[in-house]
Amino acid sequence: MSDDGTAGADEAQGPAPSAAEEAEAAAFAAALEGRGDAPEDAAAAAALLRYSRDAGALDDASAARVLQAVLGDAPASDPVAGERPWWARPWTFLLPAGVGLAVAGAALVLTLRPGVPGGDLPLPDVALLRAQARAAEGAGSGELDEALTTYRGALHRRLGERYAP
Amino acid sequence: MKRRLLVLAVAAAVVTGCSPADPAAGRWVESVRAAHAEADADASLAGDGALRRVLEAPVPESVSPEDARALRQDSAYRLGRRLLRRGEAPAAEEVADGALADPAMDVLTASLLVLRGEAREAQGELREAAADYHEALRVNERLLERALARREAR
Repeated sequence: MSDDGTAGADEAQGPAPSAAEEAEAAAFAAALEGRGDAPEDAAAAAALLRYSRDAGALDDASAARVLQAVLGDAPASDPVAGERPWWARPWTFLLPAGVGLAVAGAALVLTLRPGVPGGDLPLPDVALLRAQARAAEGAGSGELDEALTTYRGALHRRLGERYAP
Repeated sequence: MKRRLLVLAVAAAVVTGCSPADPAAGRWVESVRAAHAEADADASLAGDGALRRVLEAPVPESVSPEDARALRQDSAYRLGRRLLRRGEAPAAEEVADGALADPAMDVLTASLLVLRGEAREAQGELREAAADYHEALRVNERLLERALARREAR
């Protein structure tokens, strides 16, 4: 070992490199700096060195480049649809058809509910309504009750027919 | 092909338009009619009971709400009228009140309003009675307009 400690360093460096080794080292350095076409061995060594340094993590700039490449160059999800006219796109007809089917289904369900005919009650005649108006004005309810008896008969007949087994 | 279409059309008509009525609905409507017949025959409390049972009995789901409302309101009117004639104004008002929870723009609702007005008037509730008469007249006016229009259209 020398006094200034350089002897140990010399020993660690080993014997002087051969010409072939120097050429490969130059190519290796060029590959690390991204210059020229490095020999395959040198490129592989550079990749290994890079991987050992950061476990293969991409730096921010590289990540941004990759992302840009993926997003920018990616094809549309349905490139054909973008070029089709509106009437040739599947949703143009599938969506209205789906809505139509849903409405038809709902109508069918309502129609098939167990017989609830309903509505359409007998209409009161003018005599009944006038008797009612007079009763509301304080003329007594006798006339109204009589007219309602007739109406009641019509109501029972109508509903008896409607719900006849 | 024509035969298949015919079969489909007949099946659709049977399913949608010609379904048989629910026997429970027919029985309920008949029970209402029988209750009124009983009330016709008996002016006493027994006749009231028949009408009261109509109001308390559950209505089969196969009876349309509109038809059920009409029959129940008519029965309530008749029961309330009988109670009022016997001087039981609060009970008459209570019966009319219950039936008016489901009002409609028709002659039965308007009649119940008249009845409740009379029951309230008999109890000295003149302002409330006037409001009922006014509402009855409002419905009555609409119905009268329609009836006259139908008559003119004939």
